[in-house]
Parts: sequence; structure tokens; C-alpha cells
Amino acid sequence: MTETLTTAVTAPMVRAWIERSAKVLADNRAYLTELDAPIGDSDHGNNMDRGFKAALEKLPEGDDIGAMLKSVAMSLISKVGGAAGPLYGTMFLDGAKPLAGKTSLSADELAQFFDDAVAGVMKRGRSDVEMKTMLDALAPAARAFREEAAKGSDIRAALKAAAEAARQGMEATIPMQAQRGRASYLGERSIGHQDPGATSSHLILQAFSDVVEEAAQ
Amino acid sequence: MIGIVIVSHSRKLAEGLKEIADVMSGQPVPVAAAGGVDDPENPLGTDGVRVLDAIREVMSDEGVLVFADIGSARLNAEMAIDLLEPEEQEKVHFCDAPLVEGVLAAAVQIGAGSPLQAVMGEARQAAAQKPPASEAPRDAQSGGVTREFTIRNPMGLHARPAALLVTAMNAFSGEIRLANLSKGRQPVNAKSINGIMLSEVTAGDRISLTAEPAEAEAVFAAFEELIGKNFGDEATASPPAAPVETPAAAPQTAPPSSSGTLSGTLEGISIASGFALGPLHHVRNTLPEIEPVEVADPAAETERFTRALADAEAEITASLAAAGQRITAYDRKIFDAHISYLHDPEIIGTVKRRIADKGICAEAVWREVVADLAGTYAALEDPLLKARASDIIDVGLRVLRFLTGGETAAAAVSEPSVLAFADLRPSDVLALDESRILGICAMTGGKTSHAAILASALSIPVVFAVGEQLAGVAEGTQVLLDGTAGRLTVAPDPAAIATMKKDRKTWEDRRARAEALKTRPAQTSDGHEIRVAANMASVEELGVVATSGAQEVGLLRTEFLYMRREAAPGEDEQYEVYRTLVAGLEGRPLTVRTADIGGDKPVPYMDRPPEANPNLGWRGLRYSLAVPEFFDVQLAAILRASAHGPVRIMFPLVSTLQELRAAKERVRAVMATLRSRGLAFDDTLEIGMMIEVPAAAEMADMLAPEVDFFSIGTNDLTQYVMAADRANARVQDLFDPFNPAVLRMIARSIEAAHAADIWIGMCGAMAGSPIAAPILLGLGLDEFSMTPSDIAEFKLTVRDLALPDCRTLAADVLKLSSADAVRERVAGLHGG
Repeated sequence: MTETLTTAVTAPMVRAWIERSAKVLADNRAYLTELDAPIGDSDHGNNMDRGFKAALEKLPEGDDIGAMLKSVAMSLISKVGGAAGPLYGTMFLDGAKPLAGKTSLSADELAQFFDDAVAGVMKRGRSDVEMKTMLDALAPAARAFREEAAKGSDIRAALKAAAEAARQGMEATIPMQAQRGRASYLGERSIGHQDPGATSSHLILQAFSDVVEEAAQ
Repeated sequence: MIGIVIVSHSRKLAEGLKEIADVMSGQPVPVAAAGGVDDPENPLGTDGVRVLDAIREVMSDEGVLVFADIGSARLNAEMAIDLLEPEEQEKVHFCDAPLVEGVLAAAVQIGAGSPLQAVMGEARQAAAQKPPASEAPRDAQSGGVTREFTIRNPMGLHARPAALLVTAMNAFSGEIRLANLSKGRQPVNAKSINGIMLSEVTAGDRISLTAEPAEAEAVFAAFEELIGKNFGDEATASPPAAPVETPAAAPQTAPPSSSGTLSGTLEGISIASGFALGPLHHVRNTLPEIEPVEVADPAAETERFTRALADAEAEITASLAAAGQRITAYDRKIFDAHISYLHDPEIIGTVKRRIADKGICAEAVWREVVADLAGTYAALEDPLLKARASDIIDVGLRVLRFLTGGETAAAAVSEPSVLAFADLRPSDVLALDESRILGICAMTGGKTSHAAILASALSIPVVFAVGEQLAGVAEGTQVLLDGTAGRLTVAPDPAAIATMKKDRKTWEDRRARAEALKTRPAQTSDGHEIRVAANMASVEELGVVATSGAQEVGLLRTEFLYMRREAAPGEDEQYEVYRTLVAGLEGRPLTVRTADIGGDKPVPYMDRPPEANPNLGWRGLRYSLAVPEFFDVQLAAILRASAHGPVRIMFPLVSTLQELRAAKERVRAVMATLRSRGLAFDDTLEIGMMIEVPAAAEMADMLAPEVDFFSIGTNDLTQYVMAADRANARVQDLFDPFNPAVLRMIARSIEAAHAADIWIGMCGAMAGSPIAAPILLGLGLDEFSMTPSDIAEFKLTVRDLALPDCRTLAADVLKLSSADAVRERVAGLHGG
């Protein structure tokens, strides 16, 4: 088995990513809800699980990545129910906009996808990093992906770096005081809890990295 | 009209709020509820796509306001707005206001015709704890005229009374201020729902109203009228009249006991004609008592309940499909509402919880929950909401049937019977198997209920409101139901039966022949074809018209839009009505007659001077041309509806060529405005006029080249030609369209129309008359427009006629000297 570079993410990999995300979110349903209990509505796990189940069910046939991601966005907007619906919906919708009709993605295109996704979430939530939200996982991940991809265009390595950055970003939300969403009502009492949104973001990015890794082997 | 979208985490909250808004706005304001998510276990949340659909549902050029409850609802509302096309986005505004107060304030202001900015302003202020800061005591300086009034209605100026007041005040252009003198409040804007509600005017309070001098008198008059009407407060109105009882053998005070049977005759209201003789079968459509039985496995019980809901829904869907053309889209909405109850997360949640908590059978829990809910609705004062109670019981019984596995369809009978209901419901009508049911009678009910409208299309006799004695008639008793007279005879004697059988035989034979012909083109025995159309005067008639066999609507009277209200209907409201009709007619042309409101149909807001001779007065096109702002609104609404299907415009009471040209000029001007507003319409739509003034009949040759069609209105034409008031009993012998003078006017008009190569119809009472049919056919009339229920019979009449005979007859009758001679001559045709 030789190390080869992964220079493109194909449509089957994207499909596998959505499938894996749905599985991981279902497996972590109770965990996410548990994280949400002290600072939210205790519904994040359930909401994400329901949203991705619907996304999987409605995922269109074919190799059009833009169409797949847009479909995921619409499912999440319709089915998640809580604030994560429009936020993740916007992430996939804005990220997918330049990808209509594409059947594989280069490292540059993926980098753009992550940047557009982050910008969309910021705009929708009127939020930024360090407000104890999903952006604390997503924004560093987007940055790490672009930096790693610039070094040698290996998407596997770049996704691995992105997932790792997301994990660190997720953990960094523990000492933060929430400034957005239901958790912000708690003020200082939100300190000491890991943000459930940042956690689901990490799970989704880790799933992406894992399926691309497996595809390469 | 500006639309409202309610975004809430709770579907129930959104729908409940919509319900209040519908009632409070006083007019049909487009409101769409977008609450909850599709997950019966966790129904709370918001669905961006549902919001998107809701926005599009109420979208119009005047804009849409979106209201949201908390947190993610707002995010999803904004998400949905972002998902719209850019040209749609411009018209949609997120309204940052408290949900309940904001939506209600907006609905009232929209109903009152306020512009978008004013509506948003009111909505945002809606939760203010004190009245909006008054720019007050400028009344004195600005020279306003003030008058004081005492408010007497028991509820004071709250909710609906306040909404009525805002609507009435919005009809005036100047500023109007209201101050609650008794409570020492600052003056508020009388066009603001918040201002009025926060003034806390209660019964007995003295208030002042200040208006601009030019319109002060009219404002005060309008206000006094509201006081006179008790601000629509029904509380003091008399109770509905008791059903008519006959002094026959029926004991007047007989309790609805089960033993012993009554005899005699019960009088009711005719809903569908025909005769029936057979055993009476009582159909129970109230909730039965159910013994709560403990169950061992609540989870299995919940499963059984879920299945019953699904079965009930499938049954509704199936019966809708089976009913096919028998019901219209309008009627289908009733059953859509029924299906929505089967999905109500609150109801379902409560039932499941009680099954789990108490461990008792699903049917007992369901019965209890349905009864509670129906009871809550029944206790409400609003008649619309109250009526929901029967819908809920209707759905409740259906589900119960699946749970208990009891009798299948509500109306399943072992032998052909006359069914007796306490109160006939829409779904009862739908579930009927007409072949096994002889007739229907009900203790209560009115001609205008949904069930009545549906039942009127049945081919069996239906009689409502026969009274509670019906309950005392024993099961299986022989009854005679006369749907034409609206009468139920209990245990009829042999003589009555014999008479009825003879009547019925004649009626049935003819009816069967007529029914067979109904949907076929109207043709004479020698193949000459004419168009048969229906006259309409309300949206509710749509279902009946659709199944009547009419090829088109030859006359839509539009006066109903203007009656019984405080201000003229706006363009969007009228457009909605016309568009609904066009959609319901599914491609059959709709002839809309512009409003003919005269001194005989008083409409308060038109502020017309009293006239000594209303029939010869300022009415019809004469009024429309003098008040272009009134006329243009109606023309714009009709034209916009023409984008959705074939529509014609028809002008009433045209007397001169100049009037006709002026009216066409208004149509052209409104078309130009619509084009500049970017609104679609059919610029080739047919424009026609009524021939009802003798001057128009006489000048028909000069008028015909200017229009696409004529339609003769025989009632007015007769009274003008004969100079005989149709309401004056002493001159009724003159008021007869069979007078040769009237027939000559008709002949002349038909001739002129055909010379100019346009078609000509008739929409007066004469058009449906079997006696007139051969004359009119012989004269060459192209379109016959009549009451929908006359159509089948009319086609049958035409079928027995031959065109050459009709032509000879027509030529003959024009030379006769009296109406009686005309009738005699027609009878001769039928006789031989």
C-alpha cells in the first residue's frame, strides 16, 4: 500500500460524508443533548439527528455535488427545528453555491467551500468566533484546511488538519462565556460547558476527514 | 392585500393566532400559519421551508409581513426570506414585533386598508403599555370639530368592536382622534387599533371624537351608525327563530322520547327537491359514551391509536377521491381542515400521554379528549369558532369507528331509508351512498351552512330544520319526505301516499331524463345548439354551479361584495373573490357584471342621497361612471382575474352610446395602469353590456359595433317598457315579459346583435322559462343564463323543440296583441 496524494473529492465521497455524518450524529444524539442540557434546550442531539436523517433520505441520486449539498441544506432548514437548522442550512447552501454541476472538487474549491460556509454562518447568526458557537470549530477548521492545502494540495492531509482544528476549537469553547443563542441568557453560568454546536460541527468535519481517508486506502 | 405570516415554534400557537386574526380583522386578510416541525414526538421548532411556502401563499404586490416568536423562529424567518427570488424579497418584510399583539394589530390595520408602513408601525407599537404618545392638544388649533358620545355596548371598545371602528374610520381621509373622557385619557388616533384598545373604553364611558371640519358630519354619522349597531355586538341580539311547527297532530311539547311515535307533519326548509317514502333511520352523530377499560400494554394501545388516525385520514382521502366532481376545491378545504386535526400534535400528545399515564383504552381517552375540545369550541361566542365543534366531533367519530371497529360508514343502512340527523355535517354528506338512501332530514340547519350547500347537489330530497320532534319519531316509522315543499309527513295515510306517488313518478321520470341530459350540450331535436349558462351571486354557489351542467356563468352579480359591510371592498379582496371563482369554474367563462347598486339596495358607505324613484335613478353604470375611484377598483380586480381564465366584463343599465364609450374608456385607462404596475390580465377579454333600458334596445344597432356581446335583462326591460313597477302588486298584470311589446324589444336587440356579428344572451328570469324557450330560440338567442337548478329541466325542454317550429312561432307571437295570446300560441306548439 503506497501513500498517494488525494487531489480531488469525488461525488461518492461527498455522499459518504453525508451518510457518515448522519450516522455519527445519530450515535452521538444523547451526548449532544447532554451537552445542551445545562446551557440550551436539551434538543440539539435530537434536532441534528432528525435533520441529517431527513438529509440522507432526500439526498438526490447522481454526481452533482452542488445539488447534493443544496439538498442537504434544504432538509436541514426544514427538519432541524432549532437555530441549528438555518445555521447549518446556510452553511451548506452558501458553501454549495459555486459548486452547482460539479462532480468532483479540487483542494481550492473545497477551501472556498469552507470559507463561504463560515461567512454564511457568520452573517446568518450575526456572530463571530469566541462567542461560544459552532463558528469556534468551523472558522479555525476552514483556516487550517486552506493553509494545509497550500503546502502540497493533498486533500486528505488538509481535511485531517481541519478536523483537528475543529476539535481544538470545540474544546476552546469550554471556558468561553456564551454571547449568542439560548446559552447567552445564562451569562457567566455558561462558562465551563462545551458548546454543543461546536461539538456537532467537529463531528461533521471529522466524518468528512474519515470518509476521505478510508476512500484513499 | 398585505399578507401576514406567523412563524412560531408551536404549530398550535401559529394556527390559533391565525384563527383569532381571521376573526378580528373583520375581513378576509391573508394570514398563513407556519408553526412547528413535522415530528410528532418533538413538534416544537421551526421549519424554514414551511415558512417559505407560507410567504408564497399570502404573497401579493402589496407585500408580506413576517412575524416570529423567539430565537430560531426569527433565524428561520430570515432564512426563508433569503431563499426567495430577489423580486419577491423586496416585498417581504420581517416585522420585529411581539408575536400575538403584533399579528393582531397588523391584521386589523390591513383589514382596514392601511398602507404597509402604517401596518408595521402599529404592529411594533402593539405591546406598548401606554397609549402611543399623543401629539395632542392640537385639536383646538387645527380647527377640528369635536362631538361627544356615550358607548353603550356591554363589551366597550375591545377587540372586534375596536376593529370595526378602525375599519369605519379608515374610510375617511382626514385625521380623527378619540379621547376617553370618562377615564381622562389623552386623545389617540381613531384609526389605530392600539390607540383605541389602550384607551380602555368600557360600557358607559363618555368619549369625544374630533374630525376635520370637511368630513366631521360624515365621521359622526358613521360613528353613530356603529353605536346603533352596538358595534357588531351580538350579545343583545334576539335568539335565532325556533323551527316552524305545524299545528298538526304532532304534540308541540313532546319530549324527544324514544317510546311512542308521532304522527303528522313537520315543516322544515327545502335544501334539495324530490320525494321519498320509506322507513326512517336515525343516524347518530354525537359522541357515544365509552366505558374506560384498563389495558395491559399501553404501548400497543398507542400503536392502535396511531393506526386509527392513519386509517381515518386514508378514509377521508378516499372519500374525497370518490366524490370527484361532486365537490369543489372550496368544499375540499373543509376536509383538509379535518385532516389537520388528525395531525394536531397537541391532541395526539394528550391522548398518548393519557393512555400511558392511566393505562386505559384508546377509545375512551380519545372520546374524552374530543368531547373536551368540542365543548371548548361550542362554548365560544363567535359563530365561526363555535361551528368548529361539529367539525371536531365529525373527525372524532370517524377515528372512534376505527378504534371500536363498530358500524362502518355513518350512513350504512340495511334497506333504503330516509335518514334522520340531529345536525347534518359535511362529512355525512360525503359518506352517503345515494343509491341506498331515499332522503335526508335534519332537526336543525340552515340553507347557508356548508352541509346544506353540499347537500343541495344531491339527487335525493333533503329537508333541514324540521325541529326536535324528529327525535321522537321511532326508528323504522314510515315517513314521507317532500323535498320540494320542505315537509316531512310522519306515518302518512294511504291517500297522501297515493298523491305523493303520482307526483313522484312524474317528477322522477322527468328528473331522470333531465339529469341524463344535464352535462350534454343543449340541442334542439333537429340539432341546433345553444349555450346554457348559470347566474351566480356568491362564492358559495360555486359547487352547485360546477355540477349544474352550465357551460359558463352568464351573469355574476357583484353586489354581494358591497352589502352588509362598513366600507367598499378593496381591489385585492375583490380580485381574490373573482380569482377563486375563475379557478372553481375550471375554464368555463365567467361574466362579471359591474356593480349595479341602486336606491333599492342601500349601502351606507356610498352616502347616496335618497331618491324618489330609485329604479329610474342614479344606479348601475350611471353611478360607476360618476365615481371612478369606485369603478376603477372593480375593473382592476376583474381584469386581474382574467389572467387566470376566461372572464368577461358586462356593464349594467346602459342607456346611451356615450355612457358605453365612457365605460370602455375607463377599462382602457385601468388596463394602462395595470400594465404600468406590471400586473397580468387578458387584454382580449370580451366586453359587453346589458340590454335592460328600452333606449338601449331601440339603439341596439348603434351600440352593437362597440361591444363583444349583449345580455338582455328581462326584469328591468319589462318594467321599463311596460312602465310597471315590479314591486307593485296592482300593476302585476302589466309586469309580464310575454307582452309582445317586450318581445319586440328582444327581437330587435337580437337582430341588431347578429347584424353586427356579436352574440347575445339573456340573464333575466325569462331565460330559464320553458314557455319562453321556443320563442327565444326562434328569435335566435345564443346564450341562456339561469338559476343553476333550472338547467337540467331547461335542456330537457329544448330537446323536445325543433328550430323551424320555433322560428314560425317567434314570427307569429310578434304579431299578437297580448301576453295571454302569446302564452296560448306557445301552448298550441306543445299541444300539437
